[in-house]
Amino acid sequence: MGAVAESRPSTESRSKWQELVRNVRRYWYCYLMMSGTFALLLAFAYYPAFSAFYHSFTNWDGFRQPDWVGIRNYQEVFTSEEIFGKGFRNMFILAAWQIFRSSVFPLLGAALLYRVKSEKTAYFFRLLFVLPIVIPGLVGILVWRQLYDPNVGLFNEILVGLGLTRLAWLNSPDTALFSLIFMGFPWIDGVGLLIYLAGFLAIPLEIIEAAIMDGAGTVRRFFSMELPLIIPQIRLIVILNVIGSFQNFGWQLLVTRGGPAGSTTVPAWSMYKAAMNEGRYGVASAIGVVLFILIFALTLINQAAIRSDIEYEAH
Amino acid sequence: MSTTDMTHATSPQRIPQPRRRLRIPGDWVLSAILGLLGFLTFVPVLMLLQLSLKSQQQMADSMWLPTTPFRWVNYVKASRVMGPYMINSAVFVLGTVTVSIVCSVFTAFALARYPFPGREFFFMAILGLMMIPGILTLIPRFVVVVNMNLNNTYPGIWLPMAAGNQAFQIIVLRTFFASIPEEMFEAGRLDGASEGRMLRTIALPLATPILTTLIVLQINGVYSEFIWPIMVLSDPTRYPAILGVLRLGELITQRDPGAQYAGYVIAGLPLLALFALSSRAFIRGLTSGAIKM
Repeated sequence: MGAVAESRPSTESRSKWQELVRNVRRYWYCYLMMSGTFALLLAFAYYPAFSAFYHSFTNWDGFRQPDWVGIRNYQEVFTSEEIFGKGFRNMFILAAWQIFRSSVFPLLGAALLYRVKSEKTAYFFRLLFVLPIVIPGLVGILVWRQLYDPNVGLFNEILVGLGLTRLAWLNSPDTALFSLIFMGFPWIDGVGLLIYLAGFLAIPLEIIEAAIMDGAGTVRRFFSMELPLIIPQIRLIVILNVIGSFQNFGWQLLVTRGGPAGSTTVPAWSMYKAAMNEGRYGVASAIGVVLFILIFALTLINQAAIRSDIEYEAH
Repeated sequence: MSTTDMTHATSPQRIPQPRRRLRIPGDWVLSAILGLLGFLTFVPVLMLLQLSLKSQQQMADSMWLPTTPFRWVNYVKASRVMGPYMINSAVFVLGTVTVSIVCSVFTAFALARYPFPGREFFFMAILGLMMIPGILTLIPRFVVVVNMNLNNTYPGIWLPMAAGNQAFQIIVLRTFFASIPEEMFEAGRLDGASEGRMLRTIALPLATPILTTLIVLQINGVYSEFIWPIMVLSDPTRYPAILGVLRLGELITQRDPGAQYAGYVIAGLPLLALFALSSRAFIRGLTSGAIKM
């Protein structure tokens, strides 16, 4: 390094270079401190991301030499009836539902909870709605599958009890996607509720008192005051839930396998299946890249939302 | 409601009160609505609990209503099967959290406290990770693990899952370490403390609450994760508890569905215990996680 420094012509850049070397030597332990993190990230984040992009243009079985095929994998993704026709349609239906679900029901729960005057009661209900968070996703899916069972399931017993006809739920292409959507009824997600509630509680008391003095009723206050003030929280929860729903394929992996007749398939499941079951890693990579582009766009919106909502410190 | 207000306002003995279009409903109305919603939220859990206490015959008689006697023996059978999987889970969680927290503490401390050359570059490299969704790297990450001969091993779980949490943990910890006043470190330096010693005796004790939050959040995430272990582990005896649940059907010898459901409940218990022990850190982690992402 010293030789390089001496070959520099101007003394100014030479001293800059020397200062850099001096600082690297002085703070050598910083690089050592970061080495663990960056070893992990290189192997399991940066390289895989690069690999996904590169191999999306190849025919690849995952382990032998890949063949370059240009955009053929992408052509397959966008012409496949299963991946594009059904998968993307289902994904967007689920995402649209996620927008509605995550912005309405936890918000309703939080708005009701916000109005409870007794602190003990409010604490009890907050705990009640947060507690289901500890149920692992896999257990939730298995339990709901049992509730949907066409022969002995709870929902069909209720339908029969009400004098209605049984539904096939997950077993029919007509109702399978609806079954995925209905899961979690009444959809009061604990995390969303907590964040909305925190938003409500941050509204200054003087504003509320002024509104009450002006005779604004509880419904009026909700729509013209509380709701506009927690728009940032709503936007954030919605975007995060939509991003999550694009990547989610738990039901498909554990129960439906995308069926019956492709009625519950989503691109993330097609990706998993293409790689793990069919050994077509190139197509899987292409699906991953398409999902990445969609999520990236949403992340940018999310970042913009955060920038405008929260003040970051300068350094 | 409004008619009573009107009569008050018009009756001559009374001072006119501020007009209210809609009275705020009393707590009992709210409690009734919230109670109903809470009950509906818990229907699946209640159903799981009552199923876990039934014999096959009791289920055939009445699937969805609790019947006595409760068959607690289901839990004995299920816990016998779940035991080894619970140990696997403990190993996965401990290893992942240790690797992850050690790496992120060191990196965050370096990024927060020292003006070393390339600091901005390294920080941007970590911030940029927030833009890479797990779904993009899932399949190539699996290939990397297989190529490193880490499939079906503990490090095959620990290292990739630790990597997945680095960005969030480093960003949170770096912000915290940067907020510690420089004077505290200056004082330490004057007393002749080494940099490592200052990390251990000044920064880490102050960071205990935030570390607790990060650890609790990560335990929750690692324990519940099932897609990565399904991909990496080909030997089912190495499955974590959450995947052991899937094997209950074949492992409980006599056809005994009640014990299967008891196994589901048992798989949920560690997280319930974690929540009970650290509900504050748990809640703070979940809400801050959503905001900071």
